[in-house]
Amino acid sequence: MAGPGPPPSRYRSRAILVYAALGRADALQRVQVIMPEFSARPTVDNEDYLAILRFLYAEAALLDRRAFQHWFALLTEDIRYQVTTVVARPAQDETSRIAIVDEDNHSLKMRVDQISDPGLTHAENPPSLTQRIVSNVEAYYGEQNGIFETTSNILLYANRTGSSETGLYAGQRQDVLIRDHTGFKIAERTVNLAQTVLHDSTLSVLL
Amino acid sequence: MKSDATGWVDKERGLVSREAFVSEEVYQLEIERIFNRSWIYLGHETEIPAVGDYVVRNLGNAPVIVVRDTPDSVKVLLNSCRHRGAKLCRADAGNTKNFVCPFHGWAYEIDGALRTTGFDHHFRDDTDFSAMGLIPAPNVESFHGLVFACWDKDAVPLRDYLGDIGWYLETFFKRTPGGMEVLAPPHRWRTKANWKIGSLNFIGDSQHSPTTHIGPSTLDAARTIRDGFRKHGQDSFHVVTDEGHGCTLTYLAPGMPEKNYLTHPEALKPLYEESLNTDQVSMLHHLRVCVGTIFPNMSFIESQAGAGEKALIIRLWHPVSGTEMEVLSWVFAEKEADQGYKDRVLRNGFHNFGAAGVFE
Repeated sequence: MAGPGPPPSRYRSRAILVYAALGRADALQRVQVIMPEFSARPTVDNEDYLAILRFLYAEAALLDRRAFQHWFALLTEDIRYQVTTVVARPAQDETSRIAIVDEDNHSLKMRVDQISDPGLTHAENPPSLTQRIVSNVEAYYGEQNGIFETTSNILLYANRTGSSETGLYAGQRQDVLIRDHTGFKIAERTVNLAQTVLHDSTLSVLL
Repeated sequence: MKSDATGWVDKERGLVSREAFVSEEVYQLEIERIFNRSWIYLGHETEIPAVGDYVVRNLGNAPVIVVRDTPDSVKVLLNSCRHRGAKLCRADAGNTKNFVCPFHGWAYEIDGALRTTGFDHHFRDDTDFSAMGLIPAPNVESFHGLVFACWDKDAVPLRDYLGDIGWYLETFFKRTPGGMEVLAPPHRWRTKANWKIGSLNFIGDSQHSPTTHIGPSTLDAARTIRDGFRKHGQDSFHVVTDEGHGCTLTYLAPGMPEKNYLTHPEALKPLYEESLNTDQVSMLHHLRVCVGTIFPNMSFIESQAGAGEKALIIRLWHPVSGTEMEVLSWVFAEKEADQGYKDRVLRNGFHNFGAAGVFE
């Protein structure tokens, strides 16, 4: 962190309170060490939080209902969509992640078109039955007006009906949302899965 | 249960029983007779560039540590302590000065030699600690960066094992002076299928492509049109070597312009000519796709990936049981290529052939 000290923020003071409540004298330092991915930006107010929560729930429902093209319309033209897994390294090393999905608008559109068309997909025909839980949502004001950074957890159950395989994917999502007069759009999504090896064949569902 | 393999294969009629693709008995025989006797691909030297770098892989059904013990050599060590058999390395990859067993603290040098048990004085005076190092694979060789190992101490040299397929492998893995490099750790996924499905699919099954991969071939219109994939048909050769390896070479159809190099950086073209002979350069120049298998379970493919790159992929079909395999997938590019090109090859290569690949 550059400068004499971190700027004051509602998030940080809140986190200190949490850790102080747990009796941690080194609260601030520990928050920074344990949760480096947490934004130092201010958390959004309740009205914005509710709007973001509703957007994320509606978006999740579109994916579970397999309304992939409607879902795709919620992405910006410069979308970056990534899913990562972990390379297990010794605990003293930094966490090492590799992108198993790394898409821009064009390549993600291909993926969406493929699973939308029964004639073009084998992995999703018959369709996976998915049920996703989106939870632990936190949201922060971004650098500019109308830009939000959110973190959320996702647990996705995916039942491949044509086979005996059932996928369970747990991950933390880091999104950048942009709000204009039409509502929210997703500009960036990174899904960090808590997995090193996928255990149910390849990933053919969106997270 | 059959007592031997008779009846699983009908050579006369060219038939193989479905049993061979699910049976645990066949799987056990394959481990014993194929995976414990053949040269098995374990990884690429560029995954472990520095002394002490290691990755954990499987040689047959035995977990092994593949470690760079000196700047110029790689050791393959059974990932099991000589004391009580505990697993030494629980990570997938790392860098270390020693391997220390988490059970009683036996410590080994990175070349596998036992450094100390921690209680050496408890052993008899005539104990030969030098014989208590980690069990090494007796044969480890590298072919242009591709690291293979073999449990059979009497194995033929790797170059002889590869035989004529080496000429083709060279074209892909030694086509510039710097050679190829792995662009990211491998994608890994388990799938409930026999390992032979993968090997066979890559060694000689071009007919699956239009059906299985109808999604990407329909949606990636740029590629389809450029390659004349549909309009001009294909001009393919199937190569099978005496050693049981093979590949399919799909050339640009007659009349199609020679524009293969458009998908490789122009800067690399002179390097290809420097490193390969004229026949190899000519083959590379005309190839649209090359896909093949090194017996038993290493496959490779170079094909168009995205709008402007080719991606070179290695696949390993690791047999977990008769009915399950773990697939590892690596993407390669020339060391000399610029970073932007490597980034695109990595993205597009895994978009097609990764753990969430649209070709899968």
